[in-house]
Amino acid sequence: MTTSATRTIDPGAYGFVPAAQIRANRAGPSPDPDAIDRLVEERDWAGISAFLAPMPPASERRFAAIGQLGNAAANEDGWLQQWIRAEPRSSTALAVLAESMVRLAWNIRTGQRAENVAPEQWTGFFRVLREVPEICARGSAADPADSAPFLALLNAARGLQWSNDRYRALCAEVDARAPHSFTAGIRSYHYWLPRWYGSVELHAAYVADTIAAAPLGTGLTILRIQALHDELRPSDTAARPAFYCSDAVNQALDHGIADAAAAEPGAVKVVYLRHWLAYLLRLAGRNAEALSQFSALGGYCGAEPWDRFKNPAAKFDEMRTQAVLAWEDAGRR
Amino acid sequence: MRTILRALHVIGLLLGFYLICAVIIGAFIVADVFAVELGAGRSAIFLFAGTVGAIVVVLRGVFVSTRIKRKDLPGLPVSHADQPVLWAHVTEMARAAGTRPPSEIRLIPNVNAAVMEHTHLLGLVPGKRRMLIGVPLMLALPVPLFDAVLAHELGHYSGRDARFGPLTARAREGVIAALMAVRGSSKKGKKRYRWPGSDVYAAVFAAYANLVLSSTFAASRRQELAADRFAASFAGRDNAAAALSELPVVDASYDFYLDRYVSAGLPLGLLPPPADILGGFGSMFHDAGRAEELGALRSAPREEQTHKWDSHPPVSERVAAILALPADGRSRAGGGTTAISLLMNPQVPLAALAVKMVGDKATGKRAADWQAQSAALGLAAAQKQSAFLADVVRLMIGRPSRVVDLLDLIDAGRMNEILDQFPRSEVARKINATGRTAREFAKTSATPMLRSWLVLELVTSGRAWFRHSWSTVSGELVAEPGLIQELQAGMDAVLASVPNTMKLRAALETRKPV
Repeated sequence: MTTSATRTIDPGAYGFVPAAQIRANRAGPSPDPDAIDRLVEERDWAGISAFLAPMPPASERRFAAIGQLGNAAANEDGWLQQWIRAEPRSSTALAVLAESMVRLAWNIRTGQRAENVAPEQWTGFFRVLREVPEICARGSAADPADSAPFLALLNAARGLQWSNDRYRALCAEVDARAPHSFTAGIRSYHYWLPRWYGSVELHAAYVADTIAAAPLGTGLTILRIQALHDELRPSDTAARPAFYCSDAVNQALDHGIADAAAAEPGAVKVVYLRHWLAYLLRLAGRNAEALSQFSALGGYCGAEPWDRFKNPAAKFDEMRTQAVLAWEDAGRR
Repeated sequence: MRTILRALHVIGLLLGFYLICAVIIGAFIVADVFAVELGAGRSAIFLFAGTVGAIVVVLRGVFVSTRIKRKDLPGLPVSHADQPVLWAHVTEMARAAGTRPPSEIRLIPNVNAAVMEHTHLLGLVPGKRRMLIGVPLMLALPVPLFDAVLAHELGHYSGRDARFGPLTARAREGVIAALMAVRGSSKKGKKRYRWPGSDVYAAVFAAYANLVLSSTFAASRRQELAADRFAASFAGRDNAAAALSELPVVDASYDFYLDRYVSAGLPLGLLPPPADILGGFGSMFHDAGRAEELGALRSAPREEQTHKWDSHPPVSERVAAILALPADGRSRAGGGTTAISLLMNPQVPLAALAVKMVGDKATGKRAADWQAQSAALGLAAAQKQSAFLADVVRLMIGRPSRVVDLLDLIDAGRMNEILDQFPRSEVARKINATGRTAREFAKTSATPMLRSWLVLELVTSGRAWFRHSWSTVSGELVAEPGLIQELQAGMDAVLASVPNTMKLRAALETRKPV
């Protein structure tokens, strides 16, 4: 068998974006992130407010924008402070503030294992995080129907070590305002992991229940795919190829393909499902289906699993090439 | 018979040492004579120098002083007249132990008890007996445990161990002094001149020193175990074991007490009044707030390193040996009165001993009782801890700063400017914190500074004060009812993502006394 390094393809011949043009800082083709970056750079809080205003309150597009703004404000928040002073009763601005506080808290704590986090970091982490519930409460008071403050709280609750019951009650609040939210699903997914405040059983039940309740098109089938890859994959690398071809993985992939196909065109969060599908379909040897996901993704790889690799664009291109070559070798099947 | 054998053993070791010295010097002189006869020239000079060196080394070893001069005796002698209860107690115990009571009792400021005997004729003729009693032990131990400690020491008398103390010490000191002279180091750790050729006989001294130290210290350890058995038979097995296990706890506590309480005021020129210096230890040791820490010390004793030159076996081994004795039906005494009750007017000898113990350190110090010391230390610490923040504000406003000046700056939107003046902490540098993250690290540093600054102003204005405490070294901060909570809430609001100074301003405003 020849290695892929010695064989290359012309991406253009398959309708793909050339390797050099793959963007590792974006997950998909939505123009929102670039527009938001520009507004933040100009510290144009009014522009930001106007940009967000027409978005449907429970849309993933809005949640994505609020999340991105929160991350940006975790570094410098002058514009956000101005916005809040100008619109103190904007649940959007307060949700951005809450998101930024959670991000800031994690920037202080870092992703280190708990035993490697310095006391000084814990102090800052909790001081910042403890403010979030109050900010979210102000946001909810300003607009009780808005799910964005509750979504921000979902993230903070994990750091604040909320009990299972309290967390379930919060999820119910989110679900009542934004049913089957992709963003909420991903956030809760982490809370229920055994290494946070769940267990293997609670996590499995959470994933199964969430997917069972969600209609196709929400992208929530990503939860099972990610759980299979991250939690259930054999630690022995030699056993992995068989695992990737197992029934469990194939069924999850089938479900994922149907989910992605049912999504509305331009759904900003479904691209995250497609990234996982492309990656795992290739590993499962389902090259034709992998190629159709790669094709739908175009030239963006700023998402999991790619951003777990040192060079996400190179990995993305490598997997894509492998899928093409394998597909060619199999007689374009 | 046993006494004579032990005397002969020690004397033998000592004579052996003198013999080695004589042989080494003799050998050098013989070599010198040959060198002169053969006309060795330059190498003869080297040999003469070596001879002089050997003589110096030997003299140091032979004439090392082991005599304890009266003025070098530690502690404070207490008379029958001043301390009849203690004397009666010790005399009674000695009588019960079937040994001659000491003729002098000295109190010492250490966690220790000891006996010594000033003997004659190399220890064969009994002499004056002295007993040293550590005041910290009297303050910490209940009488039955204290009795176990005394009984152990009296056990040394009845075993006649104390009698050979001076002779054994002479043998040990002699070989050590010679060894150190050979190695070119002095007792005070200073480097001394190394005589030429000394390596030749250094090995001989080292080997003999090893023999003397190993055998005499092994004997010491056997004597300790024997004294422990005596203590167990006298004071009860469980009391003897308990007393012994308690010694390291008392020792560690006393070190802590001297360091954190007695010496704490020294940098401020303060020292507790003499009567408090030692007496405070009892208060600290028995403070309910310290019970947990002491319990932890008891349940997890310090690891002991053992060495063949240890004079005592490790405590754990001694306790195990005592507990291996058959049960005697005498249960361990509970709390009860501590042994300090054996002293009449304890503040008098305790003060006198404290004056001796502190010595020159008391020069130029003001006496401050625990409460006054706690207040002074609390204020000094608050000043020190708030200095950086107060300075940042002072430089920004161009005049001496108060907390309200900081709040004014924050209200003027200059919080970030203040935080940006904080040096990045090691952790912040490590994670490469910038922007808001770096400012949050600065907030974490600023929090205790602001707290101290508030304390400083409130204590100065009389709205809060420090109360001396035996359970926390820094003392307790006491304030008007509810004030501490208001300050905490005010600080949280000031350090929040959107700072708000109103609560803290309200808390700072002076109100009429309740």
